[in-house]
Amino acid sequence: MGLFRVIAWLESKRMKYLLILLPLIAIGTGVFLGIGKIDLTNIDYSFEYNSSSSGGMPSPPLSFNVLEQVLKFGPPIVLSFFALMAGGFLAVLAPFRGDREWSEGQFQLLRLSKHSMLSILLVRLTLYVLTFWLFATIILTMGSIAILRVDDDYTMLIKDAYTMFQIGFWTYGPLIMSLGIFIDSIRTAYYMKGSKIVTNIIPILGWLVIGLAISDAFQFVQGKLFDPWLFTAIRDVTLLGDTGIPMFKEPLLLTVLTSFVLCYLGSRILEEVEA
Amino acid sequence: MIYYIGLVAVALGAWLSIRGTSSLTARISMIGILAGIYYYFIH
Repeated sequence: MGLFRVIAWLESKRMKYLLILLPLIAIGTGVFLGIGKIDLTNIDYSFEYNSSSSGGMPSPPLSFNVLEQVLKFGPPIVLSFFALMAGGFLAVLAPFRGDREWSEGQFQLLRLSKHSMLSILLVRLTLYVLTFWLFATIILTMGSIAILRVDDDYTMLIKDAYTMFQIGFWTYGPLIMSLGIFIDSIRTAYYMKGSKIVTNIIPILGWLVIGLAISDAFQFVQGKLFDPWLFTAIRDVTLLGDTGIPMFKEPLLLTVLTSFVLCYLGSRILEEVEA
Repeated sequence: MIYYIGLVAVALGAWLSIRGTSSLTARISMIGILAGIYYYFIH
């Protein structure tokens, strides 16, 4: 717990702009969703249909219904989406440290105490994931409230969307964060010798290829290794039982394992650089 | 033609990657990344 507190303090110092930006985005979204009460529901979207003159069947005003739906639910969905995108962008950047932070040597000093680099990286990963989970959940809750205020027929839909988002976050959130930590470790290994070209290209190339490779590996493992029998077997032994959503626990398991492996590799690189 | 240019670029990148650091894991990871780029985008 002591390590957790120390790293939380170090990271909050390091990412102070990010920690200011995230609440600002959340508050801004909340203001636009809640206080800006432009009530689009009172606008009359119905159009006059002169079906008798054409003599044919009156066609259902489908396109106007779609327009109405878009106008009703567009603002909360679009706002939440953009807030989540902005948060996601910051989340992707979060694990990357600058040269100065490395030369200040905060994490190296921690390493000199009794903690291993692996535990430091795992605590960092946990901190990032929890921070962005909190942010995303707040944004999503505000978006849901805004939609329900417009029309409370959509409770089930929102519940489903909420569940799907949480599953998506816990499946891919830790994975992306640990990828960032791994690539940052490689970067650290290269800027020790001051090779600027390699240092600057590594993050871009690393994201591209490792992302593609992991996505491929996920599909391969899900298709080949985890056959249906194993799916049911895993589901039977878990305490929570079947959630009704297929392919939930297995990708989560894969994510935890992959994140651990990436953190382990990152910690190995940092230990070798220090040696 | 592009395959050979790609191979030369990957070899150059691997050489830079090996020279740029003393960490073995970082070298292997970088060569893996370069090989991945070659496989995905050029091969």
